[in-house]
Amino acid sequence: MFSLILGGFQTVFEPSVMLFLILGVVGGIAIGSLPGLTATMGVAILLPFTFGMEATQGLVLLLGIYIGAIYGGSIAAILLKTPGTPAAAATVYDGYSLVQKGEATKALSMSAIASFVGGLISTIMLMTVSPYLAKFALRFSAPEYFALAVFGLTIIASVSSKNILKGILAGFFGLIIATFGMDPITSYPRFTFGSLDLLNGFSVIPVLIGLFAISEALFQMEALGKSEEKCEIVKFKKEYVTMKELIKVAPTMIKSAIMGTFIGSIPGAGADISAFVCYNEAKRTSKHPEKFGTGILEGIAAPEAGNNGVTGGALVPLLTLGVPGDAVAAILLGALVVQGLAPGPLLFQQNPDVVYGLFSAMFMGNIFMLIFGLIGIKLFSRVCEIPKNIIVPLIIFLSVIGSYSLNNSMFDVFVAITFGILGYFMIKVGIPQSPIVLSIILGPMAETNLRKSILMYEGSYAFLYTRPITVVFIILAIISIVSAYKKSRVKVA
Amino acid sequence: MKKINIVTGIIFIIFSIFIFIQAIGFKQTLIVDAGLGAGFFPKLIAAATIILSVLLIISAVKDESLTSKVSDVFNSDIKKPLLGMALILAYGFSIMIFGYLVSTIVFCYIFLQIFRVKKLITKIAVSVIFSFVIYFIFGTVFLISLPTGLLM
Repeated sequence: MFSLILGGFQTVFEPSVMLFLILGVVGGIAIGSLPGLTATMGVAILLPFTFGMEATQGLVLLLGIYIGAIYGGSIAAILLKTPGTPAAAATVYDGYSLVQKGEATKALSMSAIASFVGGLISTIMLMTVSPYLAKFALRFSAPEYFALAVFGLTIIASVSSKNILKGILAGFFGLIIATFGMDPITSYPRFTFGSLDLLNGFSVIPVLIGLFAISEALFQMEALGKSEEKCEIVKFKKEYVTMKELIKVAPTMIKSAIMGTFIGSIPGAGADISAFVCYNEAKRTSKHPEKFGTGILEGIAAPEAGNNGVTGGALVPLLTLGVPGDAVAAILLGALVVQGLAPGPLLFQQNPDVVYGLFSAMFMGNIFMLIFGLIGIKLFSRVCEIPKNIIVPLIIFLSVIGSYSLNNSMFDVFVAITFGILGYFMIKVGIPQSPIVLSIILGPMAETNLRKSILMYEGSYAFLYTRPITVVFIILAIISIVSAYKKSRVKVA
Repeated sequence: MKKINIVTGIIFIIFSIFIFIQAIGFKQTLIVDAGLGAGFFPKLIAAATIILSVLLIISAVKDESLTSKVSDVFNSDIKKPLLGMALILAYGFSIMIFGYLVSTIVFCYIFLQIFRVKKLITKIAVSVIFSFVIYFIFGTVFLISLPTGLLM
């Protein structure tokens, strides 16, 4: 294993790969620090640029954007009181309070260091856990994969929305969309309405470009040209966070990083959820919870370590099981597939170079994030001066060329536009988009493996209770639905 | 006084019924998989979606505080996005007729005009430079054949 890790670092230290990683991290921080541009959107619109690259170059670029953007979100949260990405929403409370005291540099450096610790710990956990998980997953056969997909789907639906019914509805809508095209077992054309373009169903990439980029651009248009948004940054001292303060918040950072990794590895639960859970947990266990919100460093360290902790965690199920841990991981799945790599336990055996290259890229990406995060504080704080009325149209044009370039197909462009329009209305009525995309990926996995299992058992459903791993997943799925239902009852009452 | 969750539920029900009826029409192929066939999974999902939508509607009727009014969500703010949608669709068709480069330059300019970018030079510079850069990256570097349109 050691030689594999070493080989991974060799890959990353190749100049061309290194360049794309740095480009990704810096670009990611810039994207993240622009309110309205999320990590998911950034990765989605830049994904098409990787089609023409080598596998490692492209994947490293996307990973860099992911790592950078999750940190970058905190810059806008701290300086402008507007989270740059949803994942940074919890950082606003204490971050902005520190800015008002003139301590912006301290807040930003705290955020950069906490993000680094979060990302690093989760990368180490990813490196140590996933090879074993992959080995274990090799034993999975159709019934286990069916149960896993069901478990993934229930989790996604239960965590992704304030209204659990809307979360589940979004998931089922995705499942319906996933059945369009040829039936995976009998090749019967379903819902194609005589169209040849629909024979292979909707490609995931145009759908997610539509749902995450075009819909968000349409949503941003509401506020455009209404009132000139202010981008005034208060003058601040150039005082970084001190060693003493760092040691004081270290336990909070480490705890949040580990929690973030676990949350990230659960399908459907992403950085935004992790940040809030870690913030609340830090507040709950603190000796002085009343100080949270008044500008204390723990209030930045916890959510930032927590949301960057997700980055490594989300890759655990993606690489070992082929199940994306969050929306960005779903896009990375698309990138892997385009490069001809199938994520799952076999990837560790067939392409260990790619897997360990990714691990090392995560590792180095976090180091670059820390470096550029610290030296670039002044520069990134000015990103918000880029006028939004230029950015928003450019997102649309990038989305269109991106969805076209996958298959050189105008059909895909119209798929992206359609899902963009649909996605906009879904944002308006409060239906979350990430369950749709994850179901489009998990749907075929659930269906094919269910039907294969029934074939294996000659028409009987006995596989649901005679195979131990399957039973565990089914029980977990039931628990996740029941607990989400109970939680929603409490909220109402 | 229409509630957003009720309308959402109804739209999902109509969509699911359509899917369900379509799936009934799927013919059994020669490959027999334990009597399940191509229509099994879509029918299952569509039926579940109908049940969920009904639950959503019931919860909205029971407790009105859980849902907002249609008129609150779709107020006059939606005008700009609607215009945006029309423009994106027009852009898509324009690519097929006039080709990628020309359409992108023109529509980029239109978008910037609508979103009140003030300086003429900014509008022209952004739309021309951006379009050419993308055209170059995808067309020349990535060797993707971009649509040239019907006229060329």
